[in-house]
Amino acid sequence: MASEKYFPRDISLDSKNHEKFKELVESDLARALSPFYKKTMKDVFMYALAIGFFSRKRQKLQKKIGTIPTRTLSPHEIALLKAIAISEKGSLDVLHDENIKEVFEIAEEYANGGINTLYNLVFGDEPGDVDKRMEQHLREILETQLIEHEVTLTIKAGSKSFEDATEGKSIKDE
Amino acid sequence: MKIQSIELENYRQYRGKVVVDLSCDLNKNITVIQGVNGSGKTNMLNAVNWCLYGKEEYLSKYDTKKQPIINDAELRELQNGQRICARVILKMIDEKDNDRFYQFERTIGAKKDAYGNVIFDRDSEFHAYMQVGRDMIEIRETEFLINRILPYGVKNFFFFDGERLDEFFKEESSERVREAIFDVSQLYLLDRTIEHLEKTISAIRVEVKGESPKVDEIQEKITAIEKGLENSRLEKKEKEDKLREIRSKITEIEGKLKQCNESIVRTLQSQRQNLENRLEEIETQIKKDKEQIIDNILEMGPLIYCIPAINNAITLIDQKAEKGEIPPNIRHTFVKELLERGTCICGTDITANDNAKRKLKELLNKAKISEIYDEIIELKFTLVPIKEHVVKFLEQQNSLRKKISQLEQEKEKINRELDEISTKLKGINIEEIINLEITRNQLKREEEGLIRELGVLDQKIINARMMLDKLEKELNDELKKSKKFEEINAKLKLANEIYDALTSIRQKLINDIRNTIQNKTREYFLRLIWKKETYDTVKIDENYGISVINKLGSECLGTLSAGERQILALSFLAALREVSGFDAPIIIDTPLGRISKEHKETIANLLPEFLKDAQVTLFMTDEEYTPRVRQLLLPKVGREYELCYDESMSQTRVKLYGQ
Repeated sequence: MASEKYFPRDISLDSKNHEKFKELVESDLARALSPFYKKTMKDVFMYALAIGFFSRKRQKLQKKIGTIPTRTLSPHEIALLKAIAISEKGSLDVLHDENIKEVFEIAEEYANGGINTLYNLVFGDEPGDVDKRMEQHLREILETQLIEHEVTLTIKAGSKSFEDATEGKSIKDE
Repeated sequence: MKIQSIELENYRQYRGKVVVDLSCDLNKNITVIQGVNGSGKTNMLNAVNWCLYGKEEYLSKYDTKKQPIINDAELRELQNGQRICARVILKMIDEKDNDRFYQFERTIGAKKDAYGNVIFDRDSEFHAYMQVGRDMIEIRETEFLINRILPYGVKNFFFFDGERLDEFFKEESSERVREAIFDVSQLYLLDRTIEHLEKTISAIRVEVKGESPKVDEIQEKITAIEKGLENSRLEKKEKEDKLREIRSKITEIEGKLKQCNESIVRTLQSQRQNLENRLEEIETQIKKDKEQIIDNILEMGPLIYCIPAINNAITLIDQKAEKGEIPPNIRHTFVKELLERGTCICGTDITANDNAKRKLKELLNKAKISEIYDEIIELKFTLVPIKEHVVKFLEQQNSLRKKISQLEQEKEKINRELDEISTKLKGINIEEIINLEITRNQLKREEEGLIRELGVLDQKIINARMMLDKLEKELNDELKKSKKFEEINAKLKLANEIYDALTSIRQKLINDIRNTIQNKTREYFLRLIWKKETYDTVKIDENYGISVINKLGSECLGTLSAGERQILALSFLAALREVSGFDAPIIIDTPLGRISKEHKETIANLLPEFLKDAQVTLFMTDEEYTPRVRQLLLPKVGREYELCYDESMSQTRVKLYGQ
């Protein structure tokens, strides 16, 4: 099993996007609007990563800042990062000690690609509560793509649906 | 520390001199003072409070005649030109300090002038004596002495009204819990040091004035923000005081409505109380459910977006298994060792046999998966349940949103009912009731306005603090640019470091104390509560909200019965007392006042165990001190008294119980 000693100490963010992560957690605007207010940077990272992966936006980091200690990730979150890397590489080899750093690099790049979409989703000028909008995206994914509890998603289909949703075409306010 | 005796002289309904000796025997640590409503129990608790702190804070709903502090009959009989006084003397003994003796005396006088008008002294007179060796010496620093025994901020955890305990966790309990924890923390010295340090930092900054236009500009901004911050803090304190005053007036009005002679008024007020309690429960529940909705989104969102990745990973693992690559039938390390050794297990020299070498290398490649086999299996067993977990998301969110919608509907209905109750009260043809209701409504509006204003002030304070942090950083950067500011910069750096360290120590202390109080409250509550199979734990969160969690994991503070709430309050007070470190006597007025008949005996049975290490005085009505309750308490009762009020004489007599 890939030993944790091969994990990087910190997860890095791109310096140009660092403020966006921070603003979602602790700004005045976050206090009023963000579901991440008083949560952690790690929570924002996981969400941005997932959105980035779903919408196939992977962006290399130009200037890295290590701000999230890897030890703060739960075993489930680590498993998710590994699943993304396996899916991305189409191989289990990424789990070997000598490759494990790549799992985190892929995650960082997806988070970097997803942060702008997440930022706009939270602070954008679409009407309605942010939590309802976020939930609506998740509902659409689940309702349209889960058939009798069996997940038959394909990455491509998922990506298309999400892009439509973030453009506001399929957002329904309850 | 124990009270040996309470001596009352012409104090309210206690005419002449009355001495009540309390039990100082640790094996029989309880003194019971029984009396019907209005006989003077609450005023005896007031006497102790007045003697030590100069305040009478315990309101008796039966003291409708508003007796003056000096006995009414004595005042009536006073001749013109004569003086009289009321006095309370407390004799106390500290058995942990070589039985050191203390005496506290408070006196207030009044004179009847030539026209028969009674003129009370403006202030009472207070004297404190402490035993030193064989002598009693008067201590002028009375505040210091009282703070050593039982500071004012902490005394409410030792002297309290049992009937009000029930209300402790009813409304806005988080503010009360926060205040209690701050009081018990006794961090005044640390607070003063932090305050002093803030002023020192400002003074150091002033030293660089006139040295650089940029520095001056930042300084000016800092000074302006600090001034604004100070004003906001003062304004906040004033508004908080005002809010407390308004709430106390509302409670007083509601108390009057509750005791009104007209039964319809009493019923309406009682209905209103129940509806308001329910409204608060609903609002708390809605807030929690909304937080849960957000937590679910943040937890499940990443999983839902990544379902394709989870599927792909599981499929890849399954394919490997189908191909027979996992589990691996040969270990990677084993093949690696053979190649390193150069000889196969069959004895073939691998170094000289290219074919064997090639085959072994192929095998080595295939077997590499054995290195990560355990991890692959663990990963699959983590990912599969995630998929199953994700499916429940919609169900959970739908159920929470449906619940919130139902609660909102109930809230609207209750608000309509509350309006109807108010209209009915204003429609009752009694001027006093109409005025009380109108005043109550005005006060409620003022209360709402103040809460909003306080919210704005809190925001202003947070913003100012953030702005100050930013400007201080700018100032530091600016000061670093010039050598001449080196010394000042070093001073500022040190002062800021100390400030940060002190504020963080303060926060840590408060958190530690909160945790200790939480753990002790939980320990007492679970030990004392009769439904042991129902409740799991008690929590005090970061915002000082207290919650009782049942075995199913649900919060159930709002559904506790009056008796259970009383146990929770007693547990919390016991935890505060223990953490406060003060060994003061405990006095409880009407400890079983709000408890239903079935639980009176349960609590009476638990009280001696609960309060076993302290001297305890219980003021009880005849309805509380039933034969069964007496029988349960008796093994621990050292002294028992009965108060008898003679209305014609405006006088209460104290006699031994049963005589």
